[in-house]
Amino acid sequence: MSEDPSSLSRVVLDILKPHIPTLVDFCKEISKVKGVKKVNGLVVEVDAETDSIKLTVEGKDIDFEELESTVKKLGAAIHSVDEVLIEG
Amino acid sequence: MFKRFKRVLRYSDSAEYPRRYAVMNAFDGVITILGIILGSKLLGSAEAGQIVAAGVGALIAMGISGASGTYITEMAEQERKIKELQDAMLTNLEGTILVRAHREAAVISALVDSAAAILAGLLAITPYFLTVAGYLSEMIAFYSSLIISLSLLFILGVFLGKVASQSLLFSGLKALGIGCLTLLFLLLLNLIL
Repeated sequence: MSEDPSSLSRVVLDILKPHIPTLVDFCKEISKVKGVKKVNGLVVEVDAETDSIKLTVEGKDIDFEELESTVKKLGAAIHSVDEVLIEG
Repeated sequence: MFKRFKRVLRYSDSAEYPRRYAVMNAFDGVITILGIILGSKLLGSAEAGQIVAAGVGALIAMGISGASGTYITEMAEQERKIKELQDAMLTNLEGTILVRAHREAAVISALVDSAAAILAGLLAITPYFLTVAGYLSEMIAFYSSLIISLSLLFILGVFLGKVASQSLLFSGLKALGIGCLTLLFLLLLNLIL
């Protein structure tokens, strides 16, 4: 069986997170996920207790399961996966 | 370890609580020792060993009471914050770094509360340890302890002034004033009794 050469190199997520951790701390934790080289966080909406952010994660062969698990561990929730780039 | 503490306090938004507890309880520790040494000198005739025993006993009691009281109080506050967050996120946050950080913050506050009182008080009573060990006379121990206590109060006041971005000298003198009030009160008692 041949190895699957495709790798997840970019994903854009719509995330709901509490104010703490801050966007900086949040993105720093995401950057520790396997395969992640670049993280861009953009605040879309702010309310009393939460922020809605657009998180763009780029790298090579990003471990999406670890990414999901890290977002959850930080007390945030992925509302939707808005963009995916797979490179062969 | 220190980096981990900072992260816990940042993730639980609790950075100011350990600072508050540290200053409050360092104050308590120093004033308690000040009261013991002044009381035994002006109102009684306790020996150095008895002063050390009373001082250490009081500090241990303060440490245990401070740690347990603060832990119970802070844990209740942190659980309330966790519940508010869960209501806002519409999800159970158990097992997340956030919830762990909130609960660890309560432990950190309790430890700081206890350690601040004990360490500050021990610093103030150190000259009497030296007297018991035979290195200092009781008279020198009394005045040294008094100077250390009042200096610690001044330093705590200066620290608070820095935190509040106010005049450091004024804040230091304010805190020193509290120590002097204790001294004055006991002097008055000495005159009456």
